[in-house]
Amino acid sequence: MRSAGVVFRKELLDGFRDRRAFIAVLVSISIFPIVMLVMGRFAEGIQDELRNMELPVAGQQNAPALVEWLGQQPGLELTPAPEDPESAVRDREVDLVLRIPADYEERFAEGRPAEVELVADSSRTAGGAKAGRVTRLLESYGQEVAALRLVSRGISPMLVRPLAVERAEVFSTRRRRAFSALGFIPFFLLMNAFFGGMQIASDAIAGERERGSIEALLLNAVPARFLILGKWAAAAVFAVFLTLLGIGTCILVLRFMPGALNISPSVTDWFLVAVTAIPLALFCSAIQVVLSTYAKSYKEAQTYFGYVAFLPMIPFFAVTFNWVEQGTWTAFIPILGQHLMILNVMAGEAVAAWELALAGLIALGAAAALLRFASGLFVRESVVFVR
Amino acid sequence: MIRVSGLRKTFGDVVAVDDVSFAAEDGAITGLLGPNGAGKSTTLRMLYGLMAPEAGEVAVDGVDVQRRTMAAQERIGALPDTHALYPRLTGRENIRYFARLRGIPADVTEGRLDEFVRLLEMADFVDRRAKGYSHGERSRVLLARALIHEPRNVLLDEPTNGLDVMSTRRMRDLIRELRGRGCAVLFSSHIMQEVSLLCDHIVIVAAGRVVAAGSPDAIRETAGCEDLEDAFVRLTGPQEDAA
Repeated sequence: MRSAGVVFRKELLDGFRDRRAFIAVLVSISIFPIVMLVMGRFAEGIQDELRNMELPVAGQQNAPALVEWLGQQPGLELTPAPEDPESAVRDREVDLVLRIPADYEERFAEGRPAEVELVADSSRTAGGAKAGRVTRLLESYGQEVAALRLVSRGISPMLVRPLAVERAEVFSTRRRRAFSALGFIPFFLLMNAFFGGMQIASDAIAGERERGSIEALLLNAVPARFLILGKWAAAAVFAVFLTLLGIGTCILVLRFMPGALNISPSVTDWFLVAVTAIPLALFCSAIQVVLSTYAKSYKEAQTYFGYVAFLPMIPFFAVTFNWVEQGTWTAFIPILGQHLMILNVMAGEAVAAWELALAGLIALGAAAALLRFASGLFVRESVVFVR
Repeated sequence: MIRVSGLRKTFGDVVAVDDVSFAAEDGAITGLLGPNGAGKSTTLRMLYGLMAPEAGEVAVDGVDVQRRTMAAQERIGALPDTHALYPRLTGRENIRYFARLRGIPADVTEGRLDEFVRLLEMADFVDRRAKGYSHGERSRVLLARALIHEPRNVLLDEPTNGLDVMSTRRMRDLIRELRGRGCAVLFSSHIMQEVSLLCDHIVIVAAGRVVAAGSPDAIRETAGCEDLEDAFVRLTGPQEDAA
């Protein structure tokens, strides 16, 4: 065990002096705030544009009443339309154009559906959102007119509304927000847990073999399991450190991002997140130790990491697209379980202490099994000497 | 002392080491001489317990390497043929790392380190990171690292390979000093002059087999040659040139 400590300290020192490890740290802590910033700005920009939008209208003279009504809507300014609406929208000169045909008034008077045309490009987020708003406005104008027509004929508008659909949503607002907007917090944290130790694991194990230093290392009368244990511990320290750093960034982003998500998890919540994520970081480091032991070179190890990089993404998609039912068993599958638990904590739901403990123990047990396997592999002749 | 008997190792169809037996006595320098690919490194790897022989036994001070690898390794100091250091550690840190792995108390390590720095003239570079070391600097650190636990049995795989004249001399002096202290020194080489200069006992291997063994004089006699180099060429056959 003492020798495992010696290996651990040496690999940490080596890791701290490795510029590649340092860059990995920087990248992993900055990705989340950058994503949040960009997404937040983007969403806010669209909201702003929607709240205060211009609507070019072609053929305003064809429907004075409609145009007047639209002009009274807050945050909507009517402007003259360009010559050729289609090409103007296609060339992105304007986001959309409302076109009122010449026969509008005639059809309207005859009680036939009066056509209006919305020229938009739904491949553009702003265009699509604006078209949606204008469509809703036009529909409510239509309903107003319909109600007036019925009333003028002595019919209650209620008669044409035989059903009133009310939705009683059991998905709480906070939970919905957590699942949509905060869905990538667990994803981001799991990525940190997953990749935090990558650099050290690949350098200390695959790199050791690539440089040829492994042969001398194995001559020191130290059992392989202690060597592997020390190397894993160094990788795990980095993974845990990056995970905690990730939690720190999440806290800062949620607190200081202007109007980001309106969710502020408590200190206890973040503590639970950390307790959930740390065993996972240890487990993920063990996966990397096995892959690095199997790889013949640093580069090869990096390639293998690329193959397993989708692992933290599976739960993200599984949750986003509802592949998994939230049941008890899911909590105990490493990575998936942690993802769901972090999500539940974010959503302000109670997570049972025994669930947390059991999930942690399972992750640690799996890590121990992986390390045992790696120890056997590490000293295998075909692994040590094949270059 | 190291005793090797009936060692055999194959890789697929290739017989790398075939029925190799010899002994490296305490207080003597034994040379394992042979052309490239003769099985020298494979033999040494079985000696320090990194490869398992298919047949045969290795005993270091009477400890069976196969059955008690760790105990045998404690008695060995070795310089494997991959002459690699940790590039981001200094020379001193590289040596210290192995000393700690072997459980040597820190004050003892530091004392020996200072001695090695003086003996191998490493003061100029030993506190620099190993990344920029020259070949000679690297091999001096490697040697100190292999000997930091003062092993009784020293195995050196081509220790002077690629070294300049000064470094080679330093290496030879150190090997002689180890003999003076009563160590069993076994070193492999494909360079005839070196072996004949240093060794008390020579084991010549070719194609995985021992083709001759004995003192330099005995070897000359066996081959019927006056010159040791001619003897080497005759004994190892036409496979490859050795200088």
